[in-house]
Amino acid sequence: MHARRDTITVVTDAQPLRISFDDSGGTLTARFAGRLDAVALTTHWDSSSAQLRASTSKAFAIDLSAVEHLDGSGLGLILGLEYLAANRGASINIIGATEAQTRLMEMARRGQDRSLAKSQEGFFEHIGSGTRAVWSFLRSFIEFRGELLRTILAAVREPRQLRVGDTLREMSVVGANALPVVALLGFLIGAIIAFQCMDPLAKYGAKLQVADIVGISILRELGPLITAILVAGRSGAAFAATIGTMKVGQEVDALRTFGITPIRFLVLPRFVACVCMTPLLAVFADLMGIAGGSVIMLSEGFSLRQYLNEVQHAVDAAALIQGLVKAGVFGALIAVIGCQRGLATNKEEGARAVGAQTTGAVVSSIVMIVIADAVLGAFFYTIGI
Amino acid sequence: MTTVSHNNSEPAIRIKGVSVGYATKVILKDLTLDIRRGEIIFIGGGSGAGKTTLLSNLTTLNRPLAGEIWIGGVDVANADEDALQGVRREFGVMYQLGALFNSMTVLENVMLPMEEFTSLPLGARIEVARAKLGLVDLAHAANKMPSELSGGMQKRAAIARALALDAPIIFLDEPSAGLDPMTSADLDSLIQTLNETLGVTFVVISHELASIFAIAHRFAMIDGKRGGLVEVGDPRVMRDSSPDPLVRRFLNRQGVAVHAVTASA
Repeated sequence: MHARRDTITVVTDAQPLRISFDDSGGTLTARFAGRLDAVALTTHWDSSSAQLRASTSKAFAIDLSAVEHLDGSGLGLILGLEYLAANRGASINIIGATEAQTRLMEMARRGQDRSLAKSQEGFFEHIGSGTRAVWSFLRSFIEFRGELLRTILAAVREPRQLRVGDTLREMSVVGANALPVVALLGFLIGAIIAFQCMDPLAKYGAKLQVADIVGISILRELGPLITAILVAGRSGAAFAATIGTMKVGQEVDALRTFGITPIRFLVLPRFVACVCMTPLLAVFADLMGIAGGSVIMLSEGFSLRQYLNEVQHAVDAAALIQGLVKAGVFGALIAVIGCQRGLATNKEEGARAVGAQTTGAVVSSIVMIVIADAVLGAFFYTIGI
Repeated sequence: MTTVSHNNSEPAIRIKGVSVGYATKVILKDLTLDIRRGEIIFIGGGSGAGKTTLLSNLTTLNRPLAGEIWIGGVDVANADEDALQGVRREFGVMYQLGALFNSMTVLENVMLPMEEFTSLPLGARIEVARAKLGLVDLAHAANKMPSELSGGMQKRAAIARALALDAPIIFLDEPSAGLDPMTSADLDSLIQTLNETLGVTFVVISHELASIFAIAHRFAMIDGKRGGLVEVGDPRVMRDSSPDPLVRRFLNRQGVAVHAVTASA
């Protein structure tokens, strides 16, 4: 907990502030004596402004002749009282100020204009700026994908365009470093599915078919999906945050002035890494999911051979390929959304913009992954795989 | 409850036998220096002399490897975190790039320390923050975002924020960095005016000769290679008659235009 300033004992020679008000002859005079500082402000702000509001005098005077110390907070009190008096149309007179105090007050009064409050957006401005924002987002979305596609095609024609070192480093971060968490989640999902299906299928004497359900659901759907959600949370967020911070630190501008496009330098290695590593991670998640299911099956008295035979019978290469294609598409979506969000960071807004874009990258990636999953599922069903 | 002493006969900051650096590397060794109340002292030296490391120790971000640093009657080199929280109200810091919070308006930036550390009502906080922005001639920009300000304005806003709690000591880290000579001279004159009118002690980390000769009461030259403090004193006297050739060379660099500081900020 922070120590509040007013709990600090200040050992000093000057006396604490005393204010006396004299409201006679049409003039309200406030006489200050002692230290006119932050402590005085805390104690006297409410009472002195109330005194001023209650007065009917048309002239207001502040007598500073007995002030022993005036600091910036004390200036705030004087300025506040002056403002209140001016609002009531009273004339203001400062008396007994030293040369330094007069100078301080003159400095503090510079440029004070309370009409400069932040302008509020009206209804139509709000609609207009909203439409503009949607339009500029759509435009950057299309431009970004166009430029990425052009860069990919250029890299296919001339592989030197791809920065191999960066790509391998990203592959290691996106892929290898994610293995433990993918293993844990894959294993547990496999076990949970087997466990949840066991009871309903036992009623029909079809316990062994739990293996079919584990195999199909993990290979076709859950393996790639869980992997993609993990990659979005780990790597998609990291892409947005890293590139966003580079944008704020003008590193992206520096790249542009070198004639290096950020798409080739920053996005392409991440895109390739994600497209290659997400399917591999999905295969790993598939294996771990099947291993997770086996634990439940073994505990139900089936042998490992029985379980694996049943899984093999239920799924074919098409199911695996279907999962791999999905994972590749998910990986591409994660890289594109994460990098685009990073590059869209408004460098003027700094840290907050990086945070907002990172959150946006994860949320958009997951939404797009689920939509793509549904579309691809329907597509594979239609073509009969 | 933290007791901070404002004994006027004591120096604002007493640095006693301080060594700073990192676990594996000592940068400044056995530095002893008293910073007087109400003075403008520049601490300078070549690049890598240990200026920034010393500043981070003085502002309690890091602890020195050895020695004592007394601020407001507390040895910040050895005090516990509770005592440090009290001492931190004793000084304000302006960082090299301003370090304003980009998501808040200039006025909100100045109000933030008051919001956290005082129980002032909102109206009072606004008036005090406005007064402080007036002092640095930025009242007209109170409702702007930091990104809308020029480099010099950002630094002035950072000074207003450093003044928010009326700390008696203000540390400035390279105030002239990235500013043109005219803006830099304006900033010097602001520092001088605040020193004269509010009696604030300014500890300025800088090797900007124009500023040193324009406003410094004293200049402390530090150099890691020579251990710690090389010499401290009136920069003009040091320039003309220092017994140390390094100091004379440092303060006699060619092509330095000493700018005139006008009386008003």
